[in-house]
Amino acid sequence: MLNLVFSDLYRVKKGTFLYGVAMGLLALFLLLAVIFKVISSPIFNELMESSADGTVITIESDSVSQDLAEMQEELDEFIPDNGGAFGLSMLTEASNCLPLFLLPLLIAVFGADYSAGTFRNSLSYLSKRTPIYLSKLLISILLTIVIVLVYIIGSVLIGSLFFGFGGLGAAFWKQTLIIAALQFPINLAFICLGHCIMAVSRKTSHTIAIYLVGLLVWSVILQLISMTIPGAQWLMNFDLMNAMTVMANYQSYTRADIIMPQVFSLAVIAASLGIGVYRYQKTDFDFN
Amino acid sequence: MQEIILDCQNISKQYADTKALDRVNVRLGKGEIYGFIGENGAGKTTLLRIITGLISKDEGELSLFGETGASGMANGRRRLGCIVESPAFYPNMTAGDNLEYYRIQRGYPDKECIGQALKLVNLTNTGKKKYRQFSLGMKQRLGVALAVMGRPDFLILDEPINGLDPTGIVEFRDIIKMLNKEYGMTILISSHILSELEQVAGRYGIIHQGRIVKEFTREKLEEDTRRCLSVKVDDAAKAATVLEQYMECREYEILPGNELRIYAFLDNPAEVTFQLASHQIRVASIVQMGNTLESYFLSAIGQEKKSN
Repeated sequence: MLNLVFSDLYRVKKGTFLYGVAMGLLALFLLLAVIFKVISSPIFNELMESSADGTVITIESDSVSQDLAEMQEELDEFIPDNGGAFGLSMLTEASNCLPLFLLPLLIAVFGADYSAGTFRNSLSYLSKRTPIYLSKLLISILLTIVIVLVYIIGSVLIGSLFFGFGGLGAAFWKQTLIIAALQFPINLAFICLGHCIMAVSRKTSHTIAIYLVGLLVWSVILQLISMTIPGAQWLMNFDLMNAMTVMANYQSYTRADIIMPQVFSLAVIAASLGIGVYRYQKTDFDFN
Repeated sequence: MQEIILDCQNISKQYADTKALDRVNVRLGKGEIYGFIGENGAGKTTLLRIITGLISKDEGELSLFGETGASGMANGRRRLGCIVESPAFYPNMTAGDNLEYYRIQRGYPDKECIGQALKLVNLTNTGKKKYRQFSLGMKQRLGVALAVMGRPDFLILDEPINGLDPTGIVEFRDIIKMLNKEYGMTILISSHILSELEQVAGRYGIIHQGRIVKEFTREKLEEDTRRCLSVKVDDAAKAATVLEQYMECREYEILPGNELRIYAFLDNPAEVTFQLASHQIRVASIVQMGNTLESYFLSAIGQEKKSN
């Protein structure tokens, strides 16, 4: 199995997919930093004030002034003071987008074998399939850790560039590490789920569709149910996307709110690992 | 006693309502080059997929290098090199990178094996060209390079000369012969291009609708497909004398019913008729006979169709 891992690490080194995902993340941070910067700029503030005077929009100016002032206050809360604050805000407010960045990784690591047909070369030489599946999964997990590091460090660097260096004391790193640790099982669940979908569907296009649509639709359905049916909020424990936000804001939630999604994540990991390995072992590779 | 490299006994595989393989028996001894011939959809690739572990068999026994069972097959497949269907590599990596990936994966310690394999298939000058930019012939060569990298004891090649130009086909033929002669590699080749199989294989199997319909050696093939003039005369012994004394021809055989089979003068049957007639031998008929491998194959599957 070590050979399998080393060979895939070699392919990661030679490939550009990790670089692409990292650049995608940094582009996102850049965009958000620019938006924050624009919102906090004097020009934007003037625009807001002149709107309230009716020089731009002619409506009842008193209520508009109040609404815009409230909006300005809310926006100001989001504007980070420094790089550390920006990094932390990316974690607490935007880290539920991270699973979307994990998808290209698992497609590149595992899905490439299906789309390129290279599984033929591995499976014909290495008869035992479980080590192949597990080694691919391990690589995906390693790359997930790398992406999380890029997420944290990248957001801090871009934040420091735009909002100044600071906020990187012990409290920042403690909170960041706790969030990363709490989110790790959930990230793992996404990865295992993606591999399982790939092993079952055997097509990268189907995997992408099921992963994206499934996660988003599942999340929306659970949110709708929990909002419309009284006492159904506990269903949100089964929403992995929501769980990322909960873990990122762990200080605002109870212990049960944190533990339940973790348990669900472990169940997803176990189930998808079992199903994925079983399907990979039993599949007749007579396609592509 | 010859070591048996591959032993397929009553291998069957069913897909929905189609029997892809029906009690197929194939046996390869060490050092053989076996030509596997069949139409599209006959079952060639299905059998090769089963041998290489890509798909499971429904019935039958399979052994590689005398070993069976899961661990036996695992050991056996490590001594196997193959191209099944089309070659498959990572499109954004070069030839060298792709082979290096598999060298690491397979645990081949010697990095030189990559250069040797690429040199063997004449792919040393691809440089930084990515696999996705390769021509079909180049892709096929790289597939062969991977198959032979690590010097396997048993080579399985599924339609290996697809996409190769005439020079490439000749080079490939030489490679196969060299690998078999110098390294004692046992080779199983499936191909539609029968004339190429004729040049390299020592034994053949024709598969049709999932069944092996005929197996024969090259000697038998040469015997059955040898071109000749079939001449029916009134006195075969006298005709033989004329052939030897006046035409200096000793390549003939006398068959019952006053028939001679003459393996010369194929381009000039009129000369034979003239000489025999000149010596008062009546010629009842003179016909050119003989099969190509294509017609031999068509005849074999035609007989199978009739028996079905």
